[in-house]
Amino acid sequence: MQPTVAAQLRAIQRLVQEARADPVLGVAAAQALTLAAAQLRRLEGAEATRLPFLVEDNVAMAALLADLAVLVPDLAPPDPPLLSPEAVTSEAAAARRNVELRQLLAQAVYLLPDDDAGDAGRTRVAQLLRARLGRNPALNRIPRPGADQRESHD
Amino acid sequence: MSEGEISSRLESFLGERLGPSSRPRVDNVERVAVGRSRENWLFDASWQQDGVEVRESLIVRRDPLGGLLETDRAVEYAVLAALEHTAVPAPAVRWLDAHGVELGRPSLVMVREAGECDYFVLNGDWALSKRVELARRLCALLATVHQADWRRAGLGEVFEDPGLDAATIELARWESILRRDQLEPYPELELALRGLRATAPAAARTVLVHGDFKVGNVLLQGDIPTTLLDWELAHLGDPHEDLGWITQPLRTREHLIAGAWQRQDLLAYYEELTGWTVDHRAVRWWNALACFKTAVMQASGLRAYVEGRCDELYQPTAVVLSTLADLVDELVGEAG
Repeated sequence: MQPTVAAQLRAIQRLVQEARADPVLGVAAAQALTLAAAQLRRLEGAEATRLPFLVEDNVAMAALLADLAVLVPDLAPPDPPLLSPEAVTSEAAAARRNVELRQLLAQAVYLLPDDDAGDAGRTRVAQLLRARLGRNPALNRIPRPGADQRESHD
Repeated sequence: MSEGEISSRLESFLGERLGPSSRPRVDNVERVAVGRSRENWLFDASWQQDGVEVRESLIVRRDPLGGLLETDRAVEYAVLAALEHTAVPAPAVRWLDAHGVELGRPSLVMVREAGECDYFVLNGDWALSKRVELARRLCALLATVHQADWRRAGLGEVFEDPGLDAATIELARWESILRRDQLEPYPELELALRGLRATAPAAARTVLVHGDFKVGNVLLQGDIPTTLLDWELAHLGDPHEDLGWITQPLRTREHLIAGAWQRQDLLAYYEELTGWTVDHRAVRWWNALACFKTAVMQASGLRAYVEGRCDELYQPTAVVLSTLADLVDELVGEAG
């Protein structure tokens, strides 16, 4: 699942380097430091819940895909059908599995037939995706530097 | 790039454009924090012209290494140049470095127009009557953009007229950006794409669409909108597109005032100003496309972040994805 922890840490390192190179802390450097702090807060908040979320999400997606495979065999989740021991203890393995299963859900949108059974399947996909939005620790918003809490989505 | 380096590059750039006897000088260079898709620098320039010193306050918009949007400075230059012959109050454009040969990255130099930006002025501290009057003026500004004679301004040579297919063409454009930039599968966006394709409206007419009309892109002098900024997403299309952008649920705090200037007030006043009938179902479709665009921009921002071209982390957020799902479900439900 993107962004990886490694990618985020690299970004923070870049920010800190930028601030350090500035002999006088100007507006841009101050902003960079604020960004870095916000991203660190995000990592602190999300990392503890990331693996449990991924495991739970993988179980739910695999179960749904197994049901949908009755209509479209290509949607059967790849082996192992549910979860390997590694995928419940290793975040990297769970994240890889999560991407595989989400790829199948993305395909399901188009592979399910254009009939009542297919529409019912897509409705179940939509319900699962809505349910995971509220639980996904990766989707927390990052405060902008200097921004207040009013909405802005660009 | 440091202030010293951009200052030196700007002096060379102006010298190339104005000629060897112009002896340009650049002062008061300052990077501004506003503007999220471009890197903006303010500066004062002076040069000799026919024995007289000319001074101008200017702004250079440089492409960043990465971010939410990748757009073409040459197109933006062409739009701004064309708008100088219309009633649309856009910044006067001066020079273009299309490929970044002189300024390091593709860049546009414009006149720094007077005024202030305030994203949330409509829900700020001003008296309600003053805020509603400003909202009406902003609506009138949008109507001015849409009623500009784009053919006479030469914008037909910059953009293709999408005709009746504006919605499907714009959806395809943003889908192609998603395909280019997505790092991982987004089944939420696939569901939205399927629903949007099935319900796309035919365009009412072809107008100049701003593409990112918002209070934060308008310079205000007092309570008068004087300049409309950020034309990088402009194109020819359906006027409902801009109406859908400004009435989308994600931006209500920017464009609407609860109980005093609501969606129906805005659309009714737009009809009164233009004499055109607003298709409310089409506006809802463009509301959904606006959310889809936002999610795609966030996906592009995520790629730029992961590739080290942008330090700010973007990602399709839960609120954007859930709002998009709500809007598309409503459209698909109506279509039966």
